[in-house]
Amino acid sequence: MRKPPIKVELKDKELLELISEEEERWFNSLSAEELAKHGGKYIATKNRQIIASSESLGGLYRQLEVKGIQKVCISYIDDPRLVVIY
Amino acid sequence: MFTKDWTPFTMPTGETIYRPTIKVFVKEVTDFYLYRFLVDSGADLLMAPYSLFCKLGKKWEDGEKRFLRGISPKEECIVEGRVHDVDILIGEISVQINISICFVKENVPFILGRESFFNYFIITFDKPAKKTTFAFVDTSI
Repeated sequence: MRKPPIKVELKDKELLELISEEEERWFNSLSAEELAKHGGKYIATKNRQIIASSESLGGLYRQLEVKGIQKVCISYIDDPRLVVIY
Repeated sequence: MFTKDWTPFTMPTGETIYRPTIKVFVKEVTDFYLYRFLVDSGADLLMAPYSLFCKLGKKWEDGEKRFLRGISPKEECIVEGRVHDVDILIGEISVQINISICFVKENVPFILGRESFFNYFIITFDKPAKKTTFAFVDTSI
C-alpha cells in the first residue's frame, strides 16, 4: 500500500533558492561548450555555479563531502557525442 | 498546476536540443536532496544510480528485482536493478509523494518514467513552447 501524498512546507532558504526561477534561468543559459565539458558526467550546481563534476555519482558525493557542501542540485549531463533515446 | 521550461542539451552535431526535466527533492536519511530528472513518457520505470540509493538507508535486497533493457536486445546489455519506494518532494506545489524508483549499479541518468510518478500528474508536453505542464491530480490535500 503506497503512502498517500502529504503537504510539506519547504522553509529552508538554501533549498528554496535551488528551485528558484533565477537558478533555473542560469542553468538553461549555460553554453553548449560549457555543458559539453561535463558531458557524460554528474554535476552539482549552487548559487549559479557548477561546483563539482564527476563521471560517477559516488565521486560527486565524495567531492561535495570534501568541500563540506550538502545542499546542491545534482544533474546528469549526457555525453554530447551520443544521441539519447531513453 | 505549474509549468517548467525545457532544459537545453548539446547534440553530437553541436546543435542544442531541449528536453523536459524537473527538479525534485529526494528524501534521504538526513534531509531532502535535489536532483534534476528527465521526464520520460516513453520509459516504463523511474531510474536512478545506485549511489543515490545508498543515501536512503534502505536494504538493497529488500527491493524487487527488475531487468532493464534499452535499444539493444543483446543479453549482455540487460542490466539488473532493484525497485524501492522513495519519498520525493515537489517543491513547486509543496507536496511529498511516494514513488517507486529502479536503482541500477551503473552511471545512469535520473529518469522519471510513467510508473507511479505519472499517476500523480496530468503531464502536458508542449514542444513548440519548450514547456511541460504538471497538473497534480490528487485533490484530497
